[in-house]
Amino acid sequence: MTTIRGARPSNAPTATGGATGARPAPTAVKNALREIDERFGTARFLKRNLNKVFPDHWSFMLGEIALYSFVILLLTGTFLTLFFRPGTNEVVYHGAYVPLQNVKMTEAFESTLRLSFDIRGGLLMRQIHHWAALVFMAAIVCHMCRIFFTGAFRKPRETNWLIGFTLMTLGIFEGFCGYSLPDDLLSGTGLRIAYGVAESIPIVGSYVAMFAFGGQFPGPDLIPRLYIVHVLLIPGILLALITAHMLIMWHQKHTQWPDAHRTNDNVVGAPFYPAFMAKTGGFFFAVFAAVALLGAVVQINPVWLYGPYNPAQVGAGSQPDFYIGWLEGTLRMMPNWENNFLGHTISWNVLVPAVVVPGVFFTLIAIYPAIEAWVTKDRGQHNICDRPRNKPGRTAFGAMMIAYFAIMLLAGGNDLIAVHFHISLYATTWIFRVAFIVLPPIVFWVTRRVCLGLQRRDLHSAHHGYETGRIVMLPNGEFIEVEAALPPQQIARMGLEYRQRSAPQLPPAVDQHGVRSPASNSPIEKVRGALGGFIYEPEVGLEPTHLDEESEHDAQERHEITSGLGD
Amino acid sequence: MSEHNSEKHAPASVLAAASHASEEESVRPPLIERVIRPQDADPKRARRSERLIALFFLLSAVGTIGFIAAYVAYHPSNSTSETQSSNVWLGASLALTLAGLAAGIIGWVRWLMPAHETVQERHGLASSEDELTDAAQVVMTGFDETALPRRSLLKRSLGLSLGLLALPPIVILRDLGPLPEKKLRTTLWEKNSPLLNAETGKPVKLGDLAVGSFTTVVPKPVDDMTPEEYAKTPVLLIRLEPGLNKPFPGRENWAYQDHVAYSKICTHVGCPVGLYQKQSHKLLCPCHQSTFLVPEACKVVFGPAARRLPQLPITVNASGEFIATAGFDEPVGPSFWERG
Repeated sequence: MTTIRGARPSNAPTATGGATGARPAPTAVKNALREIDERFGTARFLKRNLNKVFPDHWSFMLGEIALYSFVILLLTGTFLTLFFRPGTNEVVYHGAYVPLQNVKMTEAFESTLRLSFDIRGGLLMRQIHHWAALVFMAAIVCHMCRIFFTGAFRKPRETNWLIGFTLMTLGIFEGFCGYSLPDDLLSGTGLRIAYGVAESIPIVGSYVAMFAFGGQFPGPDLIPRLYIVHVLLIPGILLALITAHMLIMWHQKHTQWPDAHRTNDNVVGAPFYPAFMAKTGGFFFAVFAAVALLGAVVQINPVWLYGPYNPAQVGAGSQPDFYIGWLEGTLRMMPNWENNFLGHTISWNVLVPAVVVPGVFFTLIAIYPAIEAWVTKDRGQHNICDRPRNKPGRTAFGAMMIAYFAIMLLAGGNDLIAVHFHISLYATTWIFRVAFIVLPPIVFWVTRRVCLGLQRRDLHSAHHGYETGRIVMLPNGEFIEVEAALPPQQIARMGLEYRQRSAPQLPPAVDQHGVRSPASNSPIEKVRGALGGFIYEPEVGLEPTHLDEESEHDAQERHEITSGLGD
Repeated sequence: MSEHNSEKHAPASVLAAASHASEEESVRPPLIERVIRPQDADPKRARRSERLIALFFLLSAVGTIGFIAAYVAYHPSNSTSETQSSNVWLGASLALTLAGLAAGIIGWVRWLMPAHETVQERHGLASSEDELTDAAQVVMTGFDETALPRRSLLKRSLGLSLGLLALPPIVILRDLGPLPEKKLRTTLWEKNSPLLNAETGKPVKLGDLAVGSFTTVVPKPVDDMTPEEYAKTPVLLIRLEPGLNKPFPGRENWAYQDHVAYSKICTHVGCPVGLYQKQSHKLLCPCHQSTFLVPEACKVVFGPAARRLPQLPITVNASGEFIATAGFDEPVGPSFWERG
């Protein structure tokens, strides 16, 4: 139940705001609302939703950035479709960009050059579009990390986690389709790799490749197909899923960080209308301004420097965008294993890094909420954000996953690392191979220890207060440092009551009558128990200090002295 | 669901706070904490904030005018530097327009709109047990009304019909692409194919290549091939230092006077193996760094590729031009299931 501390009667002076809104609504406003209400019954809806309370925190803005980037992508993308021609017919270039004059290229590449060099604002729109795509994916990843590390995916929000996961996966695919469209040398190389990856799939691989590309690489139908997938199919699905994501969030109400007045059963923050609504609109313009500035001054994807695609050519240092780059890294790291199985080729060197690894990692991300709920048997409703330190097992798992992706992404740029740091190219590959196996488990262990240490510190300062740095001599000659209690709000913000507790006690495998518990033999229960070992930590308790051992008299005396000095 | 309820459930202290508040707040979510900002206490400061916000909005208007000016002033097709200027000025002015709006609105919210902490009850999403029972009853009653549980012929024939409905969308996609058949196994290279320079389309003659150099060759001029034919035909013709080549057993006559020819398409995922390291005689694929040792029949010495680059047997005809003595004896490019 709600506990309100520090509530004050509102007799404080107000110079602006507050008082002005007290006047009754003018007849015109009321009549307008009535006209709408009589048709749609909107009055109750408006009152409820305009008053909806939204908790505020900077970390809740990450999802907003993703949403606004999507809007920017729709706006700039629509502009680009007015000029881009998704054709694979060969044409000879006669546009404004001199170095490529009289060069044969596909219509797709030619129209990309035309919209960059002959259309005013075309290059800007292309660059904003590309930057917004990078910001979109980066914001999604950060937003997912926020959701993950605060446990905001728990009941009742598992559906929104899955929708968000789908949005992230579709975003990767959408981005890949998008930067493949201009048919330049870099993107063509990416498509060549995609064809090779499709071929590696056992049994159906060559069929998948032929059907997706419309024949052998590069395939006459591929660019038009990518185009319709990129501008209609995926954006349509994204739009529908984003709408569902927002409606569910609105209906379930936002999570909030632990704080003095906040409980699992309330929401504390600002009403949606007008302040929150205006501020979120302001953020849209802020995000748009940032990507517009990037599009203005930071060149991105200069396809005219790469030139048109030619299957016999390749640029050195070819790197895809970051959200694909980790796949490039796994392809580079993988040893060259290939098997012949009953007269058939299994290319582990492609299948594992490009199909199996992403499949396993993404499945883990998608079903993590279900795994955690299954292991902890937690069926409760959770509306308070966990502080990452208070759930050491989950936080360590997330950090480990980040480590995996970071190593994969860095390995995708190992040629650049080799050049800039003067390391042998082959040495970087070996470094990443070893790091991929060794580092993430270390990250898991270290993160867990750090979380437990931080928890211990929180508990200590909540119970003993913080050290003021003032040394006082007691009448018995003992020197002590004065400790002052933390303000209650600061303690509330630690969310100590939401900490991970120790694992629930299981019934003994054999009870006092000598009957074996059915759970003790079940392999599923054994897996659950083993996973529980990662998720549950021995509960952090207070360490006994000298304070707990001193006599009551001493404590009383100390209290009198320190409270007298503490003010 | 409405705030009416939340007020009923809110603790007394909140109600007390709300009842003291002005009439405006009785229809608003209950206050927890009234936040008094400097602008609330000091009208002068509030006016200063208002002026600053107005300045931001004016800057935004200036940005829009700048955008139109830049649109008129620069035409990207005139010169590369004007492309640059057009992009920078259009983008910078657009950014100013948007940033001015953003700063103005956020300043307006932060300085002039109330920032009181309000509270709302969540009300559990779950319905009551009675409502749940009713809903389940409705579902079951409706299901019984369909008669499906009793009429098994209806059930089975409907199941058959709906199950088959999944087939047309799959069948109609059959023509997305051709069947693989032998397509991934063949290239345009065959006996007596000329080795034409990919850039010029002219036959490469003995003596054209300096020792240690290489060139990309194709069997037909690039313009006469479809993109699909071209994508798998590029071959590297390399002239090694004399005596360096160690032929693969059975391929003793595939090279001609230290000239060797290998497919340029990487056996990993099909990038062109574009980098030849003259000193170490290695071919490197820039995509994933598979490395092939040319004098030893392009065996893999590093990287993710599992197989050697396929070799093209070559000789020189009567007029001194390089020709292939046969096509490739294995599929070029990445592995696939049926490759064997």
